Amino acid sequence: MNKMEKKYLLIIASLVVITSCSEDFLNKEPLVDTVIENFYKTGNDAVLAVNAAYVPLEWEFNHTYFNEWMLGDVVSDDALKGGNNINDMNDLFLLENFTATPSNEVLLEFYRAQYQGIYRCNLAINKIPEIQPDETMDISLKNRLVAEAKFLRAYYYFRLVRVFGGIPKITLTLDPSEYKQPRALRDTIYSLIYNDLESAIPGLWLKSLYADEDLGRATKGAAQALLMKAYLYNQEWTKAKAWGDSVILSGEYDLEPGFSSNFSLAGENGTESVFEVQYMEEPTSDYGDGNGYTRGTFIIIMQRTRVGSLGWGFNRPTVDLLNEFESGDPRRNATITGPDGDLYLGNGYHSRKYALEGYTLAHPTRGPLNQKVIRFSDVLLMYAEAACEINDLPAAKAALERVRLRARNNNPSVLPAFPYGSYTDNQEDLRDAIRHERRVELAMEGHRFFDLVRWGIAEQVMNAYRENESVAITDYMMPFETGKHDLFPIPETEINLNNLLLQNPNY
Amino acid sequence: MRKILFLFLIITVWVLSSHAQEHTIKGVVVSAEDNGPLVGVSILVKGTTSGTVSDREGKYELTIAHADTVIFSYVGFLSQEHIINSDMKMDVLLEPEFENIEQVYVIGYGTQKKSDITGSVISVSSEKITQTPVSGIDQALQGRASGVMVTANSGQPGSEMTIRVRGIGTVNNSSPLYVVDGVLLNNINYLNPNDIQSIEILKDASAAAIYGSRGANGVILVTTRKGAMNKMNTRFEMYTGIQNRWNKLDLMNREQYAAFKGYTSDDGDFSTWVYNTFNLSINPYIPADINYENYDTDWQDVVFKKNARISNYYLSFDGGNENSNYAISLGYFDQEGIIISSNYKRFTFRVNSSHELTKYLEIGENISLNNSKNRGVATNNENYSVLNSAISLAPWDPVRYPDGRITPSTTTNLKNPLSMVELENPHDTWNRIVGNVYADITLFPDLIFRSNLGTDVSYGEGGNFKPEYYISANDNMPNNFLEHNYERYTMWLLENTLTYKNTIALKHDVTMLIGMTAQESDYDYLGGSKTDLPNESPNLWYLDAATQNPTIGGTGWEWSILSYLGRINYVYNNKYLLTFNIRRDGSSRFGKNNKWGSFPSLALGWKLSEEEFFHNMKEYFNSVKIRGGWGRIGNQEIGNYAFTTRINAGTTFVSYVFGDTPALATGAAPLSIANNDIKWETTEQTNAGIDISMLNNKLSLSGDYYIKDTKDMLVAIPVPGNVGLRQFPFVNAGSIRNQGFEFSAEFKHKVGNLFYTIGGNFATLKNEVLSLGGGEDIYEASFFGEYLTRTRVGDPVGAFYGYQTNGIFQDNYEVEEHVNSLGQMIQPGAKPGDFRFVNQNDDNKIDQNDKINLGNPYPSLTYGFYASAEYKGFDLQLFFQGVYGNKIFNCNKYFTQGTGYTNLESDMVNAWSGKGSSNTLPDPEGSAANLKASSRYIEDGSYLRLKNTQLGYTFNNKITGKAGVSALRIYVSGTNLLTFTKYTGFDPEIGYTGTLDYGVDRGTYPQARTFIVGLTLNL
Repeated sequence: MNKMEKKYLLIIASLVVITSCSEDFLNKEPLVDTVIENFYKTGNDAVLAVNAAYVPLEWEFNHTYFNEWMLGDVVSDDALKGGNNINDMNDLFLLENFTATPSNEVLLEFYRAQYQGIYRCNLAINKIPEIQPDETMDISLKNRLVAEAKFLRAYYYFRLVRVFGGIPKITLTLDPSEYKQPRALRDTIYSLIYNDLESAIPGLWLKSLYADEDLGRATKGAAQALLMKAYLYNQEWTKAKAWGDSVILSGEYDLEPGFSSNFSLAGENGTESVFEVQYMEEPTSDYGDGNGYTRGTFIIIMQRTRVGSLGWGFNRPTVDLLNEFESGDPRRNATITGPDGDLYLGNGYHSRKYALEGYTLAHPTRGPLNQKVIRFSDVLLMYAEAACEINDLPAAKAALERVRLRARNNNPSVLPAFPYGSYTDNQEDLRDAIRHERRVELAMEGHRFFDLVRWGIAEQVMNAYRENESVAITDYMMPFETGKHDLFPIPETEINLNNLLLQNPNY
Repeated sequence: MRKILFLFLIITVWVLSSHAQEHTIKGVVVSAEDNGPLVGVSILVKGTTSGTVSDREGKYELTIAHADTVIFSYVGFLSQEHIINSDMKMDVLLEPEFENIEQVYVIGYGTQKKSDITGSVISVSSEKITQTPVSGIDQALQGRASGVMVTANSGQPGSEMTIRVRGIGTVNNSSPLYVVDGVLLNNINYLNPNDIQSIEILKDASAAAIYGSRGANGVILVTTRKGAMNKMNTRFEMYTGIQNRWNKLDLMNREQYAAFKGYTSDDGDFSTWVYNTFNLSINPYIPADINYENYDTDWQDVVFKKNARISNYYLSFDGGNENSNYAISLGYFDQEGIIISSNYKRFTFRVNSSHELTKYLEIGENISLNNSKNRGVATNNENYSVLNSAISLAPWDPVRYPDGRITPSTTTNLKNPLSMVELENPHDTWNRIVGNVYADITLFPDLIFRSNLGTDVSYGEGGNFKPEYYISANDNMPNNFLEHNYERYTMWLLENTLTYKNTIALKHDVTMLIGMTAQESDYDYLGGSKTDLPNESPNLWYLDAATQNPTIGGTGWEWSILSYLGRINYVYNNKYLLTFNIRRDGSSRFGKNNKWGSFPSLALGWKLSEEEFFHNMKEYFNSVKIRGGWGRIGNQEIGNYAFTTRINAGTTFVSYVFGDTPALATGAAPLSIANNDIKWETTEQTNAGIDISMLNNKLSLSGDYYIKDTKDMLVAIPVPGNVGLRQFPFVNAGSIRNQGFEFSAEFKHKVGNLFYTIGGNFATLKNEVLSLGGGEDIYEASFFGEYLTRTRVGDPVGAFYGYQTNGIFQDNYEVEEHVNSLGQMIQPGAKPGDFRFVNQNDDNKIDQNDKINLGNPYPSLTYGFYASAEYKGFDLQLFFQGVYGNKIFNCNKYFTQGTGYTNLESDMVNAWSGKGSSNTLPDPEGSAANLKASSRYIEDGSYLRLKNTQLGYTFNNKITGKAGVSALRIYVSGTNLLTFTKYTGFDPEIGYTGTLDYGVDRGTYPQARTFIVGLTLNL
C-alpha cells in the first residue's frame, strides 16, 4: 500500500467514523417514572390503577373541582348557597338562581373531574384483563378490580348524565385525532351505566367480605343500589324494584339505630352505608394542593356557621325545607341548626349533617367525614317508590314504614305510620308521602334537585317555593323553565375545545 | 489556526530548500512605546523553524542564510519582516498593535478571520474579563457585549447570573449554550476568569446554526489560554480587598417606630409598655427585665458585614516550542458575602498541551479540575430571609440578650437573622472535572480530520444541620435535624470533523466542514435526613449519628443527542463572503414523529472597502463590510421525557382513602399524555449588520438589527375535558418575537506617550408574545399567594400583573363616588385611607379581572461604555454599565410601607392619617386590599453604574528586568463605586429566582461595592 492509498483509506475511515452511529443511542426511557407501556403488568399495578380511579370522587370545592351536593341542594328548594355574601363563590350563586351561563366554572370543573375519573376507569377496565393473576392478585381479586372500575365508570357517567344529559361516551383512551367526540344520547349513556353495573355485580364482593382496611371500595350492594337508582331515573320501576330486592334481601345492610350516627366518624362505612366517598384527616397545611386534593374534605368547614369563625356558612337550609318536617320529627334538628347571627340574604340556618360539630379539625380547612352517596334508607325509599309506581302498595308501605320507624326513635307521638295526617291510603297519597319522606330523610345530602327533575315536578315545586321565599332572595332568582333548567349548560370552554359538542336547549 | 500555520511552515520548508552563504545579525529589540527592551521576542527565519528569542535586555543574535527574511514577532506588537543581505547590527523598534484586523474568531468547530465573518459574533478579550474582580465569567460579561443581557440573580458569592442573548426567546429555558474549547456545557461556573484567552458570542442564527437544536438562546464560546510558541512565561496574579453594601433603606428608629405603634409618654415605662403591648409574658424565653430603652438596633447593620474579604491568587506556567506547547495554572478564589455567614471558595487547576507528533498528527488536551465550597444564606423570600428580617424587626429589640442568647422578635413572627445564620449550617461542595483530548490528522495539506472526546463529571455534596433550640413559638427546633445529599452529573461528547481549506486560483477561498457529534448526559441524586442526634458536635453530623425519622430520596435522568453538521465558508476575491451551515440533530428528548430536526442557515457578506470604487475613500475607511443572514435554530431544553406517557405513582392526585381506620392507599395513573410530535422550540432569526474600521483602524464600529421569532414554543394546551387528563399536554405551539438594534464602537489612539481607548455598546430590545397556541395565560412569581407576573399574547414575557391604583380615598364621599357607569359602588367595603383601584371592566367590584399588565421587567435598552488610558507606565480604566426602561416589582414595600406589623420606612410618618394627608401612602390600618399586588409596588428599574474603575502602574522593565521580572503591574480597583437609579430597594439588579419572575425583588441579595489592590507579575 503506498502513501496515497493509505491516505485515501484514512479519509474513508474518517468518513465511516463520521457517519456511523446507531439510533438506539437516542432511546432513553424515563428514569424514576414508569412509562405507560411498562405499567399494567402486575397485580399490584392493577390495584394501584383502580385506587387512582376512585380519586376524582374526592375532588370538591373551588379550583379543586366541585362536588354535586352543590347542585343537588343549592339549586333546589332545600338550600341557599350561603357563604360570606353573594359574591362568595358567585358561580354557585348563579346556579342557585337559574341565571348560570355556559361559562360557569362550577360546571366546567365538575365536567372535567368526572371524565378524569372515567379515563382512569377506562385504563383499568381495558388493561387489567390482560394481566395474568400473580401473588398480589388472584382471579377473584382481578375480577373484583375490573368490576370496581366498572362501578366507578357507571357512577361517573351517572353524575354527568343527570347534570348535563347526553355527553360524549368514552370507553377507550383516545388518540389525539379522536379527542373531539360528539354527545351520545342520554339513553346510550344509561345503557352504558346499566351494562357496566350489571357486568360489575358478579365480580364485586359483598361488603361483609372486604377486610377492614378495604372498606370504602365498591361492593356488590353498591352496584345493585346504583343500578336501582339508574333505573328509577328512567321510570323502569320493575327493574328498579328487582334490584332493590337484591340489596334488601342480601342481609348486608340495615338502618343505623340512631339517625345522626350516619354523620359521625363512628358511623362511617357502617351498616347503613351502601357507598360513600372516603376522607381522612389531611396532614398538610396547604389547601390540599400538595396532595392533589385527596384525603381531606372541605365540606365540614364550608357548612359550619361563620359565627365564632367556625366555618364558612355555605349550603343554608331554607325555611321551606324547615317547614317540610313534620312537627316533632327528630330529623329536623339533626339536619338544621340555627338561626344564628350568620346571615345570608336574611337566612340564618345552617346545615348540620356534614358540620361534624364539636370536632376540632387538625387542618385549618380540611377534615375527615365521608360523604354519603347511597344510604340504606335511600335504598328503602327508592324501593318504596318503585313498588308504589307498580302498585305494590304493601311492599311500598313496608319500606316507607321502616324508614319512619327508625326516625321516630321509639317516640309513638311523632311520625305515625302511613296513612297519616291528610293522606288516605291510596297510590297517589302514598307517592306524595314517599316523596315527602325522601325530602326530609335525605335532606342536604345532594339528592333533592335531581329528584324534582326526574319526578317532572321541578317547575311546579321550584316556582311555588320562589313565591314563598323572601324578597331578599327572590330579587335574584329567576323562575324555573322546564326544557331548560332540568339540565345544566354544557361548559362553554368545552364547546370551544370540541366543536362537536352541541349546547343544551335554550342556553 | 495554529495548525494551519504549521502546515504553512512545513510547505515553505520544502520550497525554500536552497542554502547560500551565512550572515550574522544582532541588535536590541525595544518597544516603540517606551523604548524599553522587549524580552522574549520571537526572531524567526521566515519559512523555517530556526530562530531565537531576545534576552532579558532585549538583545539577540542570529545566524542566517543570505537573503533570508527574518520575522520579529511579539504578543501585542505588530510583527516586522526584514530581508537580510549582509552581516549587520539591527536594532528593532516594535510598534504596539492597536487593532489586529486579522483577529481570528472561534466560531464553533473551527475558526475564522474576523474580516470574513458574516454572522453576528462578538468577541470579548481576556483583559476585559479579568478587569472586574468576580468569581465567574458570566459576571465579567456584564455590559461587555451588545445584545447580551447579564443580570445578577443574587449578590451571594458564587451565584450564577441570568444571561439572555437577544431577548427572552421562550417561557421555558432561555439560557445560552456554553462551549469551552469545543466541549458543550450547560454552565461554566467552574472556570477561573484568569484562564480565559477569549470569549466569542454567537448571537444570530446564521452563526449559531452550527449548534442546531441548542443554538436558539445564543452560544458562548470560551477559549482558554494556551502556551505560546518559543516563549516561556510564568505569571502570578493576585488581588485582595474588601466589599461592603452601598445602599441602605431609611427605616424608623426606636422612637419613631414606638410612636407609630402608639407609645406616648403617658404610657409610662417604655419597657413595661413593650412587655405588655406585645404580650411577651406568653414566651418564658423572654426575660421580663430587659430595658428596651437601652437598644436602638439597626438590623441592617446587623446583617450586612462592614468589610467582607475578597481575594484571588493565580499562578500559571506556559510555554512551547515549534512542536509542543503547554499551560498549567492554579487558582484560589475566596470571597465572603456582604451578608453575614455567606461565602464562597474555589480552587481551580488547569492543564493543557498540544503536540505535533508527526507531520500528520497533532494531539492535545485540556483538563480542568475545580473544587468549590459555598455557604448560602436565605434571601429573596417573603417568609424566611435575613434581609426581610433586617427591614422588619423592631429597633428596640436587642440582637442578643445580655447573657448572649439570640432574641426573638417582640413584634412579628419573623426570625432574628442570627437565628437563621447561627442555627443553620448549610453547606454545598462541588468537585468537577471538565476536559477533552483531541487528535488532528492531516490527510492532505488542505484536509484535516479531527476527533475530539470531551467530558464533564461533577459531584456535588450538600447538607444542613439544625440544632435543637427554642426561641419562640415561630422559631424553634424541638429535635435537632440533619440532612445530607449527594448528586452526580456526567456528560461525554464525541466529535469527528473533516475540514477542507484551500484557495483555488488565488480568488476562491473555500473552507468546508463536515462532521458528526454524539453526546450523552446523566444525573443521579441521593439524599436523606434524620433527626435526634444525641450529640450535636460537628464531627457527628452524619446520618448514622442521628436516630429518628429517617427519610431518603433519589432521582435521576439521562438524555442523548446525535448530530451531523456541515459548513461552507466561501470568499470570492476577498470581497464577497458566503457562509452556509447546516446541522441535523436527533435527540432522545424528541417525540417519535419528530425524532430529527434540521437547522440550516445562510449568510452573505460584502467587503465594500475592497471594491475599486472604494479606493478613494480608503484614506478614511480601512474596511467596511455589510452582512446579512438568516437561520433556523432550535432549543432542545424541553424536558427529558415529554415524549412519553408516564405513570404518576404515589400520592399526589392518585391516592385514595380506604379502611375502617382511614388510611391512604397509593394509586397510579397518568396525569397527562405523551406528545408524539414533541420537538425542539424553533427560532428563526434574520440579521443585518455592518462592520466598519476607519481612521487608520483607530475607530471600529459595528451595528446589527435582528428579528428573532421563536415558533413552536412549548406551552400546555387544553384538550377537551372528555379526554380525561389532569394536566394538559405540552405542545409546540407558542410564539415569541424579539427584535432590536445593537451597536458597538471603539476608538483607540496614541498621542505622544498617551495611549487611550474609549468604547461602548448598546442594544435595544422589544419582546412580545405573539401566540400561546390557544393555551391559557401563564401566571408565575408567587408572593403571599398572589401571582405577580402574567405571560399573555401581546405583552412581554413575564410582564408584571396586578391592580392599578388611582390615589387614596380621602373621605367617605370619595368612596361613594367611586362608581361604575350604572352608578353602583365599586369598592363598597373601602374606608377613607384605602387605595382607589381602577375598575377595568365596569362591573361593580374589584376582582381578578381588574388586574392588568403593569410593566415590562426587561430593559428596552442595555448598555456599557468604557475608557482606558496608558501613560508612562500608568494605566486607568473606567467601565460603566446600565439598563434602561425596565420595571421592578418591589415587594419590600409590603413590609416597609405595610401595616406596621413590621418596622416601616421613615417616610411612613407621612402615610394617610386623615383627609388630605397623603395620596400615595395608604392608611397602615386600612383594608388588607391595600397590600394586594398593584401598581404601588412597581418602580423604575433603570440604572447606570460605574461598574469598575482601575488605576495601575507597570514598572519599567529596565529596572524589574534586573530582578528577573519581565513585567510587574500593581493596581487598585473599585467595583460598583457609583450607582445612579431611582429604585428604592437595596439594589436594582434583580434577576431570576424561579420561572418567569425576573425583576421581582422579595429582598434580593444586593450587589457589593468592592475595593481591591492587586498585582500582576510576569517572569
